[in-house]
Amino acid sequence: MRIFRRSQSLPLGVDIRPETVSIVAAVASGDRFDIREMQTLEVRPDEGLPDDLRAAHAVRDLVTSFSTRERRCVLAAPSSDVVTSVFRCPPGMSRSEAERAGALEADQTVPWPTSERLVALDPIPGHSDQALLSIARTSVIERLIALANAAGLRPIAIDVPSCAWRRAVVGVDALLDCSSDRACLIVFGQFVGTSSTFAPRLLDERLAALVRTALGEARRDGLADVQRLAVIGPRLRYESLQELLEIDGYHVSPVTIGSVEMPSWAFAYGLASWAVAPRGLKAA
Amino acid sequence: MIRANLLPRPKEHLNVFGFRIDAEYFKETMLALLAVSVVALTCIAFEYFRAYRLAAASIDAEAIIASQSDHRRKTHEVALDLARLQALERATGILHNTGNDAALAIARIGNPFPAGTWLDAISVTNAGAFRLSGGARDIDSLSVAIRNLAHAGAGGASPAVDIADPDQGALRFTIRASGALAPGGSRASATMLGMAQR
Repeated sequence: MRIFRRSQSLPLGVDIRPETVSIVAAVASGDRFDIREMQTLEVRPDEGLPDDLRAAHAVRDLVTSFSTRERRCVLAAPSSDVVTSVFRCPPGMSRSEAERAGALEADQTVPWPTSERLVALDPIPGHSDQALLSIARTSVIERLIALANAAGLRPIAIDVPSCAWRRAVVGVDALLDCSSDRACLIVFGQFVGTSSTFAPRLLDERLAALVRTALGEARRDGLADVQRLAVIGPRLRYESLQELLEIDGYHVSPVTIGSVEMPSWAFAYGLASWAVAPRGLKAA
Repeated sequence: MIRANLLPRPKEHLNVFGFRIDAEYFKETMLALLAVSVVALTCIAFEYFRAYRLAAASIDAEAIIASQSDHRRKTHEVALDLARLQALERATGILHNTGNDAALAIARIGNPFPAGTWLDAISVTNAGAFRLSGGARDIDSLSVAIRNLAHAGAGGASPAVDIADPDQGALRFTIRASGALAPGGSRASATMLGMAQR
């Protein structure tokens, strides 16, 4: 047992949604990943201010209430504005060559003009011949950076939702996020997941039907044969969806982090673990 | 665990001893530096080995030189003796030739003088002429000698004669003859002059 353990402050995981903001402050000590503070705050409805400024004020209020002095943060781009795929690198290809090849592949993947998109290539641990190709709208990324700066934070990374959820929730094949107006289904593949954003305020039956279709398509495309589905959202909606989806044979469970079921800061937790992802640390 | 970062990232550079190296080419740069270091170390090792071998050879050569110092000293002494003998041989040759020339000149000068005349001294002037002094019993003998001497001289030049009768019965004379009487002309005169000076 170590008496003295040096703790390394990690960048804050900041989840910004239209109605709420969540922040998780964590530290890495040795081979452990400890959550120090986590909180969710509703964005105050103030009709006189733009949405981003209201969210920035909420983030600032939340950070100020934290005891940590950490101001680095990790954000996530919205699922609807991000496309991810696996990029195969030929042997011997340098990073700059891979980035040029990734930009060419992005031309075929998304219809956005070159000036309006950002392309990122990130390594996949254990697979040196493959990389995660992420494409996002430039305006969305710039808006997130401006929002974080307005809140007094310094963003060091903007992650992809499927990666953050994959780190936050383990032992499942897919995740259904019903915590916002627009439900989002993320199917985890071998490396990269696909996200489907549904229409807002769907009835439970309609949402369950769309989820069944999406899961069937994922199995048909060879992405994943989903057996275990995690759901996060209001308790009543979860129970309704569980009943509807378990009829089809899916094992539906709530998102659980530690001993907390369906915490509102679950996605922020996934973002907070961004810095320790290459080390594969698990939460204490 | 996989992660992504859509934040625009500037190119990473590493500062190594003041040189900015692109992080992407750090491995290649380090490999190149390693290769250069290996080549440099190999060259240094080769040169060191060569210098070591040369130092050993130098020590051996110095030992050989030191062991042959007696022989070298003897050789030096022999060379000095040889040089001395050669110088002596050259001087002897010169003196031998000079003696021949002097005998010839004396014979050439002495032959014209008949019986009843004699020479007391022969000297050579700076101009290469001969100054002869001697005596005669009578004036006839002296006349024959002067005539013979004139015939023997190159070009038949007449000698200048000074006659005196200091002893009342024997004539004393002094004759200045040209240097043509000497074998080789003025060279013989100069040689005889040199002999007179020595």
